Amino acid sequence: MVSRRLLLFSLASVCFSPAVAPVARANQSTDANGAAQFVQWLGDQAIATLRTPNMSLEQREAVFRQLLAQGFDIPFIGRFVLGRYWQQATPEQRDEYTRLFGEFVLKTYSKRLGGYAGEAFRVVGAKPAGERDALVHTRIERPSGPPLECDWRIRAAGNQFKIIDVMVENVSMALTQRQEFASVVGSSGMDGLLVALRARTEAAAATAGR
Amino acid sequence: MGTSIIRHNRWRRARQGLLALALLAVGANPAWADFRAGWTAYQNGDFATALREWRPLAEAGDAKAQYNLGIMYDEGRGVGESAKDAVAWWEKAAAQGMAEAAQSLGLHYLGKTADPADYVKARQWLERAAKAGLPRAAYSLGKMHQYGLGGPKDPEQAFLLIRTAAEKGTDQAQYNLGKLFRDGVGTPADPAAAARWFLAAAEQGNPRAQSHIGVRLVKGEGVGRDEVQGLMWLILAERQGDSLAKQNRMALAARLSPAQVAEAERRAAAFKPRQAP
Repeated sequence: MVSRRLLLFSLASVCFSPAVAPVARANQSTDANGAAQFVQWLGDQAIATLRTPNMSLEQREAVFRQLLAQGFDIPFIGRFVLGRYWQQATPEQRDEYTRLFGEFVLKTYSKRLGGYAGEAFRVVGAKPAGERDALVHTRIERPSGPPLECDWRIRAAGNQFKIIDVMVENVSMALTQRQEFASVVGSSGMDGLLVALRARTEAAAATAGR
Repeated sequence: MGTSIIRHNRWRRARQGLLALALLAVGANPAWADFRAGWTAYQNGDFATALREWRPLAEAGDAKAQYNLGIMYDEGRGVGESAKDAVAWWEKAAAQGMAEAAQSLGLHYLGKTADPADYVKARQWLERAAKAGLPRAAYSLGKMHQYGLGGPKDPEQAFLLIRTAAEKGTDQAQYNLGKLFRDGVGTPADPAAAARWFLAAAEQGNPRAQSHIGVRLVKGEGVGRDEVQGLMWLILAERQGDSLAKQNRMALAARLSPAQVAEAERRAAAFKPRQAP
């Protein structure tokens, strides 16, 4: 559960953030410059979270997950990843899947991007992608290890920008997960997928020792 | 006078003994100091330092350091993500009897793929962790028995395992135990017990359980009828994205008086999930 301090912190970070998320113009196609600003805004917020002292790793990543939850269109990605099995799932399975998939996505990205001290996040470029989307190219520089190159596929929905896919070194996360999930549902059914997702989202944390 | 000297000496000896114990626990145990240094670095997101502290301990056979190194490989923190290395470190820790490592191995195999061979391994590790008393392992093992993953379906065994985890406070297990009592799976159907367990999970913030107990309160199924309280649970479940609760909430709110709806909303606003034990 979310601790009191964490809640206070999240409120503070919202109040003190330099600006609210950049707003999308209602348009058929997604404006690449606006999308780039949106991604930079998310990145700045994320880095500010990571630099907050006196928070445990779990607390920091919980704040980070809330931030990502605002940025990702999780129901959209979840339906895409499940593919044709979405139609075959019962309403109860769909609810459970959407919830678990959200946790799974947020956990995956927060541990990939969230834990590191001394990171720098830079938008390197942006261009239109397909008819409706924009692709924002970013570089995350780390104190140890090579920089991480990511492309964020952004779609404007209403007046909001939303992330609908992330490509890490040109590999689409949504497509990768779609193939993986299809093989699990194919052999173990929807229940097997839900059990697997739960096992992944609830994997235990490191131990403090005694 | 004589007795006071004896007392004094005894006290001094006791104090020396305590001091020696304290030294043993902290000062004279550099491994523990290294472990703590690793933990502090890990919490600060300085994974390179955490690895530097923990790796020598792990190589020297410290089970907790082995377990944590496994987590770092599993999550790709400070190292390239490597399930193979994670499994290798967890196996070393589990071989020393560390139940958490056995649980992590079980969840790893359960979450990895749909390969039947992995389900069998998942069962073996989860059994060890569940026997050591870890509720998360008991719950997952229970679901494997319920769905027949890695072995035949066994509803009775599923019921026993899920009940163990529910009694230890795992909200997901409480919710599932509610469903087993509702449907009479592995146990005779018992609407009152179903409502009781849905409520236990709902109080911890589980959205599906909130949706279920909400409907039960409205219908008076296994629990005294209370539409305002039912509406409160439906509101809470809907806020967490439960689509069925949304439909039920709208239908119920249309039927109740504005005062009743306002009261349910007030209760929902004041709701605080109970912390897991």
